[in-house]
Amino acid sequence: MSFESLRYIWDDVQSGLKRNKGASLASIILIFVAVTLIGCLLLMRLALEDTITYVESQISMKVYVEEGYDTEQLSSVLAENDFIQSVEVESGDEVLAGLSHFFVNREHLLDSFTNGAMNDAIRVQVTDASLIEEVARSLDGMQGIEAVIYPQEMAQTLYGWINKVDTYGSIITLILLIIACMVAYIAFHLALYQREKEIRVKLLVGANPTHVRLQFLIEGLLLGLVGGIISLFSTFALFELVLQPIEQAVPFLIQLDSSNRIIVFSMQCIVSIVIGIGASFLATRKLIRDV
Amino acid sequence: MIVLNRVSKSYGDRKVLQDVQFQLESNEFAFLKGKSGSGKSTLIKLLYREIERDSGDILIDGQEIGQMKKYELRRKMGVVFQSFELLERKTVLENVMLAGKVLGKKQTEIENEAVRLLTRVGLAGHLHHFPKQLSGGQQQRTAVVRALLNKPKLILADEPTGNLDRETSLEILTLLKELHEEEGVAMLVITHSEQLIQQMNEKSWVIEGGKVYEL
Ligand SMILES: Nc1ncnc2c1ncn2[C@@H]1O[C@H](COP(=O)(O)OP(=O)(O)O)[C@@H](O)[C@H]1O
Ligand SMILES: [Mg+2]
Repeated sequence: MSFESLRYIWDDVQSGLKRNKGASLASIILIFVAVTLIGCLLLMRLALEDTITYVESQISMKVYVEEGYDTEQLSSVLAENDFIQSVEVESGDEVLAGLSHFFVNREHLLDSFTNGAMNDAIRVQVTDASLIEEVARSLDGMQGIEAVIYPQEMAQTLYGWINKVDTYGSIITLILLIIACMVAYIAFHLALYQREKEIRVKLLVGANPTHVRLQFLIEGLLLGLVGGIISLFSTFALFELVLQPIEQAVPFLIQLDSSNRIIVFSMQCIVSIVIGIGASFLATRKLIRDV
Repeated sequence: MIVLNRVSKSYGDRKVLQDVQFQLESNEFAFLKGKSGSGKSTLIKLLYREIERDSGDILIDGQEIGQMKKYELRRKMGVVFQSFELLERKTVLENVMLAGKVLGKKQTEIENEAVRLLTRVGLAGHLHHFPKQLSGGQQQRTAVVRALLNKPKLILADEPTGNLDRETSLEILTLLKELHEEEGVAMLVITHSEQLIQQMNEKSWVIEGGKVYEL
């Protein structure tokens, strides 16, 4: 394609967008809304992921060793288990010392429970927190283990959240994508319809259909880009004005990685460009075959 | 220039052209006439492939047109329509230049040629007018210039005078004839006006009952 052809196509792109201001604007707004929401959902999902990783790291279980059993030996057996990341031995005295904080001035109560002695415990970190229940169950039956204690409810609640966010997030994202694509598609159909004669005449005087189509693909790309860029700004604002302050106020709740931002922003760029080009690609498919 | 060999075309059950034989030499001028609905437009549309024939061969410059890309075929010819097919939002000059732009030619080159031809057909004073501001005859002259812009070796005109009064029709046909001689271009002109054909005194063909005969 010659430089002149590109220039003429570019001229047509400009006049085309100007002439279809309404439809172009509608596409931009819809792409903007959809991509912003998608970006926000993704951002929250990623932030939550960090939260989860953080909370997971706090979830550990405690294995109480039967009296008279060799704690060191048991802990090295446990350490070899594939699902266990690390083990840490707490002697009975340490456990007792930990508990005694809660019984200041009432040491007799603690004594009456424990007879002044406590079994050794092993703090176990599992590799994958979602497996915590299974690991706990299998350890429970092991020789030498008296009891397994882990924050079951907390783990389950957390996974409940993640699943909900994943499910609803995916559904909402999908719906938004479909709506944005449809609006862009309709806008392009409208644009094609309004320029039907122009396209027909161009093809009759010998225009290469690929060039004619290129004009619409470029228009799509531009609409997508504009919608995408505006949504980048609004997502950025959300990031700076809402999430960042939350992070600073309650750092353990969400943890924002700057890599999150890059992931979200590049996703937004890709999605909006794909919507723009995809919609005009679909809308122009028929046109080229017809005349 | 053009050779049709046993070309047939039907729309559903309606057989419009049957085993048509036709030819037009390089640099030849010919009329094609026939009653309304006899298949004149169908024949011309087959030539620039707005529609496709059912069977037969169509050669242009010895080359089977089915083997060319549509746009390559259309670049070999200029087409003039009864309804002018000018774009309302473009000026006379822009309408003409469109034909050069889609070929990716240089702007100045296109513009010079467009102005030359528009001046030739008496539209020098209307370059920046819009089609609506012109008379029917002026619009058709614009369309003729657009067809000639890329210096094709062939012009197809489908009832170019169909929307014009008698006097203007004669003027357009005379112009086509003159341009045919000046620019050295073959022309196939469809018209259903017997009177005009007689006045022009040119070679002509007629479509009847799905066949094309030389008169
Ligand atoms: N796209 C079409 N579908 C069905 N019938 C058509 C179509 N185009 C033309 N015809 C029919 O074919 C016949 C020839 O049409 P056309 O070539 O346009 O005639 P002319 O140009 O000589 O008036 C007419 O009877 C017309 O009704
Ligand atoms: Mg006709």
